[in-house]
Amino acid sequence: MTTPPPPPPTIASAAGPTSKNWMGITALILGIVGIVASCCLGSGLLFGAGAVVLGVLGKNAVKAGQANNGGMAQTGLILGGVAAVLSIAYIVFFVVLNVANFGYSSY
Amino acid sequence: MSEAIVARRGRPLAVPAVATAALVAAAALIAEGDPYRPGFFPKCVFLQATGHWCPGCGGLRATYSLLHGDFAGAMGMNPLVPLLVLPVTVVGLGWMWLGAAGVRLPSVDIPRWTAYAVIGVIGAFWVLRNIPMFEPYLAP
Repeated sequence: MTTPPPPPPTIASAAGPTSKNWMGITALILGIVGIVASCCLGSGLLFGAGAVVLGVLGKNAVKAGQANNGGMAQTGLILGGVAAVLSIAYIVFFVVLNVANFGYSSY
Repeated sequence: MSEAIVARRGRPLAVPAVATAALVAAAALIAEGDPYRPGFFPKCVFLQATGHWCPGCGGLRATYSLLHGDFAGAMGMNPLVPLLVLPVTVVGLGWMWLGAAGVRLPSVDIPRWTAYAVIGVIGAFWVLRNIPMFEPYLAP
């Protein structure tokens, strides 16, 4: 639990060492919601994409010394990526199944 | 020290507000749509195609039950929602609001293997809820 050095004041005076921790936290929430929601109509794609974006931003914030929850950002990133891939597979599957059904159904 | 206060003041309220609004909108859709009623929400394609439950099957119904205060009903539909999604969402959102409101919070981090643990738990849940012995407890 070491605190990274504060950023140089010339870059951002209003950026504390935890000021961007919300990115990692949000990525984690979106990742977990997304991975459960990925088989609900592929809606996990929205959550997963958000988790990936915020996960990357959160990791960059750690590098820039504006956050110290890199593990959380990384976890959100991984879960979000899996959620996005599962969601896309789900959507493709959904489309294929429906097209196939319309192909031979009587109406 | 003054720098920390400036950082806290400058922290946008927009982030927790947007996250909360999105979740409230989704919750309202589920509460009004009523996933117990057939036809409003499309059926799970994995279930339709294979006849097996997917790890999210019953998730909307579990959320609906939770929104109507029926914890046991939610557990019966999909235990992932009350046991995983609910606590993470409540704690995470609460954390974001407290942070945005300027409350001093300790820095908390989690190891990255948490991601693999969550994936493992969901994978195991997927298999177990399709085994007849566990179906009464884990399947919707």
